[in-house]
Amino acid sequence: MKHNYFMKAFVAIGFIAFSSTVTIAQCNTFVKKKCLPKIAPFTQNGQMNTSTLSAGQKTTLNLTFYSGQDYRILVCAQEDLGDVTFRIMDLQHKVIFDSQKNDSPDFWDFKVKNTQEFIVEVQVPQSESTSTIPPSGCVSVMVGFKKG
Amino acid sequence: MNIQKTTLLASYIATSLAFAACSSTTDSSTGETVDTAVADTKVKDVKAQNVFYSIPSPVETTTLLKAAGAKYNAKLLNPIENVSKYATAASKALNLGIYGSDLSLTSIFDQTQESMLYLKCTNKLATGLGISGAFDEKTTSRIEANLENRDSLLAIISDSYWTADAYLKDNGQPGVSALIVAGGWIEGLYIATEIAKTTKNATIVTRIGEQKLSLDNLIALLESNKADNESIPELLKGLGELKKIFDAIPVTTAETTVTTDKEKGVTTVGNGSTFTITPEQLKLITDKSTEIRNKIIQ
Repeated sequence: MKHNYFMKAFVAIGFIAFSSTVTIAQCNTFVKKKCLPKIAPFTQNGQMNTSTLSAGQKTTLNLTFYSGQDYRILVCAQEDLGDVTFRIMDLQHKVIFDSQKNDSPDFWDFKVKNTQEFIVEVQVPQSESTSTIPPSGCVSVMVGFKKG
Repeated sequence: MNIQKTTLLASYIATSLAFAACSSTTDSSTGETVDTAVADTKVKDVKAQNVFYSIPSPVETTTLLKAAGAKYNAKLLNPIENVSKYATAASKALNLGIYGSDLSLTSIFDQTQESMLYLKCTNKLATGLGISGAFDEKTTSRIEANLENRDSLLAIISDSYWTADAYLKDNGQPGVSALIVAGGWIEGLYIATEIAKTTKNATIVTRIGEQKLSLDNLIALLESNKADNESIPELLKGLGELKKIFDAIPVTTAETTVTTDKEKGVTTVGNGSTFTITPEQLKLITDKSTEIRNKIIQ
C-alpha cells in the first residue's frame, strides 16, 4: 500500500516535471515569436519577465524609468487566458494607467518628466470554464525604450 | 528563487499530493483537507513569488550616458586580457555583464574594432557558462553585418541579453542570470562615476543619483536568487554598503501627474522624484562602486 502510494507520487512528479518543462520552453518560444516583435520600434531591455499563470492570478514588475527616454510596456499573454489586463502604479500605488479603462490595449507608450519607479501589475481574469482545472498560460511583461 | 522554478515546485508538490490523495481509500473529508491545503500552498507560493525586479539594461544606461554628454574613454573598460582570468561560474557571469556593458559602450560610440574585441570576450564567457544562442558566432555575424548601423547593433546586443536570460532561467540558473544583470549595472555605475569625477557633468551626476531606485531593485533581484548561487551573498554585502550611501541622498517626491498630447499621441508622466546628490556623496559612491567593480574584474 505504502509502496504503491510512493510509486504513484513518483510517476506524478515525473509526468508534471516533463510537461511543465515543455511549458517553460514553450513560453520562451511564444515570447520570441509573438511578443518580441511587438516591442518594435523600441529596444527591449534584455530581461525575460515571463511566467506561467493560471486564471485569477496576478504578477507584478518593478522597474525604473528614466527621463529623456520614451518607453513601451507590453503585456503579452497566451489567448487561452482570456483578456489579461494591466495597471501601472507609482510607488504610492496611485494608478497612472489602467488598460481596462482604455479599451484594453496590450501596451502603453509614455515618457517620464523625472526619473521614477513604477509597478506594473498584471491580472489574469477568473475563468468562466466549468472545468476543475483552471486554464493556464504564458504571460510576459516586456519593457522597451528609445531615445526621446 | 526563479518564479518558473517555484511554480514548478508548487506544481510537483501539489500534483504528487493530489495523486497520493486520489490513491487513498480513506473518506472524502481526508481528500478535501488535502485538496484545500494544496490549493492554499500553491496560491501562497505564486502570490509570494510572482514579482519581477527589472534593471535598466547596459544598452539603456550607455544610451543615457551618451545623451548626457559623456565622451568615450577606453581606459575605463575592463581590459580584454582579463577574460582568461575568470574561472568560476559567478566570475564568468559577473564579467559577462561587465563586458556586455563595455560592448554597449563601444557600440554606442561607434568604436568598431573595440566592439569586435569585446564581443569576443562576451562570446568566450557565454560559452564558458554553457549559454546557447547568445553572444555567439551568429551574433558576431549579425554585428559584423550591421557595424555601420548603431541602432541595429544595440538591438542585437539587447537580443543577446534576452536570449542569455531566457536560456539561464529555462535551465534553472536564475542566480547566474541575476549576476550577469548585476555585472552590467555595476559597470555602468562605475563608468558614470569615473566620467563624473573628471568632467563634473551635472546631468551625469543626476543620473548617478537616480541609480538609487535601480539599486533597490537589483538588491531585491539578487536577494530572490541568493539560494541559487553561493557568490550572491558576498556581492549583496558590497551592494548593501553602497545602498547605505545612496539611502542618504535626499529624494523629493511630488504627486505623479499624467498628461496626454492627443495630437501627437504622447503621454507624459510628470513630477515623480528628484535626487539631490552632494559632492561628498558622489565621492563615496565613486569609491564604493570602484571597489566592488575592481574586486569583480581582478
